[in-house]
Amino acid sequence: MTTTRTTTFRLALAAGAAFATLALAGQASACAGAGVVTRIEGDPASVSIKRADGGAVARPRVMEVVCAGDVVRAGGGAKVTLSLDGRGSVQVTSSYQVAARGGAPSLAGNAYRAVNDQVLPDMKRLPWDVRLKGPDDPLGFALPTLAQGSQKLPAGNHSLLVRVLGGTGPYSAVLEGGSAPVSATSATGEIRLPSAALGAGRYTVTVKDATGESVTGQFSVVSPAQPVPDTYRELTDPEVRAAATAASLARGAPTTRSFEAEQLLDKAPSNGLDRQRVFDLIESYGE
Amino acid sequence: MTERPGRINRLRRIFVRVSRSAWRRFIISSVVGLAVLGLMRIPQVDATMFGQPDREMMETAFKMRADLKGGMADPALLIDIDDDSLAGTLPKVEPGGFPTAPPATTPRAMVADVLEYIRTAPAGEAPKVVLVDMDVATPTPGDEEAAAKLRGVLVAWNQTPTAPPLVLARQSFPEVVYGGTGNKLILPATIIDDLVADKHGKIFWGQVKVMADQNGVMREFLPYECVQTPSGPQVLYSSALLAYGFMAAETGIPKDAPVRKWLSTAEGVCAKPNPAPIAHGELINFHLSLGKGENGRVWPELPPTWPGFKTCGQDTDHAIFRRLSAADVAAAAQAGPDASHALLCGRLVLVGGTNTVASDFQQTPLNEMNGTVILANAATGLQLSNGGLRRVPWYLQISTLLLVSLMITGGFTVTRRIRDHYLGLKDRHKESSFWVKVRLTPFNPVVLNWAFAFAAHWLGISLLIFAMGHGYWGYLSAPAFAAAATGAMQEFADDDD
Repeated sequence: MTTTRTTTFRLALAAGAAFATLALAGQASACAGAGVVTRIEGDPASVSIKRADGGAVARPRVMEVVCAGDVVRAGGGAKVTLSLDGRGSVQVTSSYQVAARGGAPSLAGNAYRAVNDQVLPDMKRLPWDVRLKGPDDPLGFALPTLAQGSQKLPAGNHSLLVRVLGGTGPYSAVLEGGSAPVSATSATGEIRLPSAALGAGRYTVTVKDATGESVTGQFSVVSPAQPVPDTYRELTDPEVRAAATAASLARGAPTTRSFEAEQLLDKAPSNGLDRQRVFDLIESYGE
Repeated sequence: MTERPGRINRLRRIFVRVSRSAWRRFIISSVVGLAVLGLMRIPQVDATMFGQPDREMMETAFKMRADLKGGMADPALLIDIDDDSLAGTLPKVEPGGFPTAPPATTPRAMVADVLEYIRTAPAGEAPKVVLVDMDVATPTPGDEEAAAKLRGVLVAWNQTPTAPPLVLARQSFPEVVYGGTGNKLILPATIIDDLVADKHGKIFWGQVKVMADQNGVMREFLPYECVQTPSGPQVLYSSALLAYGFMAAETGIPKDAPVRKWLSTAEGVCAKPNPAPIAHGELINFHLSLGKGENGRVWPELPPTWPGFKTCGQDTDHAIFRRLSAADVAAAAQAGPDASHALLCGRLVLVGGTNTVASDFQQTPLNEMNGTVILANAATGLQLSNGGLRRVPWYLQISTLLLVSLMITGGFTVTRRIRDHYLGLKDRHKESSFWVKVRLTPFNPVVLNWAFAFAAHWLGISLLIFAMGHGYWGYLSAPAFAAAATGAMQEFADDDD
């Protein structure tokens, strides 16, 4: 009798353990969900998701659920926007590993908020809310070296300043596009990249934070514009008269352009003059 | 062995000594507590300041458990007409110009796109029910094309076999607005009345009214209201109630569900010539929090036992609540086969707006919350509590109150003993240093009483959280407070004696 009971007990124990293992395995393999693909710009065929459990999605669709550990890859100029739980919106232009869900509420946090509300029932709780917010703002950055609202920089030697927004420090930044990549790290949100000679072209800045999250941005370096003279050159009377004659001729024969008129009009911008104004002036003399 | 009779006699003496003072106090405290408990069951008394301690306690309980447990309710997806969504619909500001005020109505074209995306979900990925928190009857001058587009989508909705039930929010107006003299509520005509009237259709009207307490905190939803329509008087049920009905379609609404009283009486009430308005609605079981301006909120995951996994698969989104910008969802509608619908599977889908133009925010026990999120709380809260929060049975309330009264009396007895001890200690350490006296503070009866009160308060909250987890709530704060106050008064009276 005792033996039968013991055997039954052991069998039940083994079955329970097997069931628990299976249940845990099932739990672990399921996609817990950490966000959603909200937008795909460009060719969806050049986007792929490598699942954390080894599977792959060759051509992901918008509103697809992404899980912690999934790697989203975007190529061919495609851009993928992810809405991640507790982390806001993330844009992927190359490769991105989805971070785990951040900032889940806790009993301690709820208790703090409840007590806080009892202590300060009539106060707006903004400062406390900020502290309770938990997750950092989504990683982003700005390039204060560039003129405000511009994505262009004149060619030359530049030490680029990268101002990081959100994310978790320390941060690293890499500038690519020139002869050799330039990189720097910083514990704070400001990264000063070493000075480099930047020729005309397109450059990419990649910022990475401590959690491995990264964002990229691009800007252009353009050849310097022609210098604008400090004082505008005044047109001399003979020049204008010559141009007026040319204008009169041009009115008679619209396809005919005098050398003088061409010269005046073409040089107008480099002389700091408005081309249309010069043309109008020539026209007025011609009448 | 020889000591035992002496010890028993000593205990008996203590019991008799205690019974002479404490039992009297216990009986008086309990009677007062029970009287208050009886009064609290009268809604008019409940609404007074006597109900305030319990409302506070319930509020704390809501806050403590917010967003922590999934429960067995279906998950909800909020398709949020947020500020970003509106930004894409407004005309661009010309250089040198300045923006004009945005239209007061939700862009119909965007709502049409969102509904089209939901309508085209395959059978295995369709939501359980869709609730649109936007009144389609509101005129949209200059945007008739979009209104026609919306109607087109709704026509297709009724004809799509896989489309889920769609509840559209409506606003009724008193007849004085239309030049009448009575207080009857008029439900204005719309361009889709024929679609809703279709008995084989899947589109329903619902109202979205919630009820606040004297402090303006939303606590209940209006279960139904009686409205006048072109076809005569009708019951306009709450959107949350309808959504719950559709979500519970498979299991059925439990026979003892509190919401059944509304469903069984509404038709009869509205058939009367002058139906009385409802003074007290159905309690909202707040459990999801999304404060004004919050963007980083994370909600818990569904329990593995959620029945929807059988239909939607284990890889479906596990979050009990998710918010997506309507602009993204509307864009997904344009993506056609390049859009997945798995996110909708088995969910309560809400289309509403946290945008600042609509400014639909109300104060709730959790925080300042958008109206659509309140509806989500109301609908899924009904599911969590199996058809509404029930009062704890009276016999359990009475038993608990008697236990609490006993604890209060016992507490006073203990603190009295400690007080005597504390006074002795104080005398003994009269000449001691300041720091030695500070060490006596925990024995100070005032400190002790505060500690007991604090512990009792949080014990009450814990009990309430436990009860709400099983779909019950009970008023105990005011009766317990009354019992404690009575005990304290007797304590003072005994001291005077």
